[in-house]
Amino acid sequence: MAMLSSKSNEDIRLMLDDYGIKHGPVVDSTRALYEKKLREAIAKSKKPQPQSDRTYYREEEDVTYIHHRRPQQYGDVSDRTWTDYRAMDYVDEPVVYRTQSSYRNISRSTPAEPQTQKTPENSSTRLVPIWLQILVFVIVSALLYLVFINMEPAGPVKRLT
Amino acid sequence: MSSTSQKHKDFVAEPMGEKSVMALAGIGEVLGKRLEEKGFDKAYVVLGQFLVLRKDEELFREWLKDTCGANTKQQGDCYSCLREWCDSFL
Repeated sequence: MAMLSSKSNEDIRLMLDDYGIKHGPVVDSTRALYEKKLREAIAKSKKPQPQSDRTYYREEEDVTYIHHRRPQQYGDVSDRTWTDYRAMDYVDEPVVYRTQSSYRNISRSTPAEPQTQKTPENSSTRLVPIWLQILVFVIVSALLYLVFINMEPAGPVKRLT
Repeated sequence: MSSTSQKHKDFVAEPMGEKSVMALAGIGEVLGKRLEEKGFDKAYVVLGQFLVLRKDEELFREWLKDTCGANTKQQGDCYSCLREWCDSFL
């Protein structure tokens, strides 16, 4: 920040307008007052920025929460939306928040898959590891197969005809 | 703010002419001395500052506080004194 005292009266006046500070002419007797007001305004405008970033991240957290629910049902779409999110400017911290929210989210929205709670952060790009998805698929298909086998007397054969 | 002091009434009753800064309402010996040290030795010089600050209450109060350390009441008394004087004579 450049020294305010080295700026011209005109510059001070322009800065006062920039910060929306009500003022009169910048003359010798008012200079000190306006410099003080500018310093306060500059300090004030710097402070809230990290806080507003934090609120943004909180929103990010909520948003990722919502976005995460839907993609849970559709397999590949979830990957695409996640990569879109990662492409945003705020790279590092949202990832942290995202994994936290996704961790929470997985435990909430997929109670049928308790195994996923253990390994969401270990996977590099996927939330649910591929081997787990295949395993679940195999188990479900095996169950369905067993059901079909036991239905023989009632007859899927009959249905085919 | 509703009741004005005798000092206030005396000041706003006539043109200030060459009155000392201590003639202003809210400005006693201590504050008057501090203002004089800063170059504001006459009431009309403070009036000049009041006008340059566009007769804005907030700015004037802040300036008075910074310049001579006036408290809230003193700021208010001086401001309303000058404002009323301006209403009549400016």
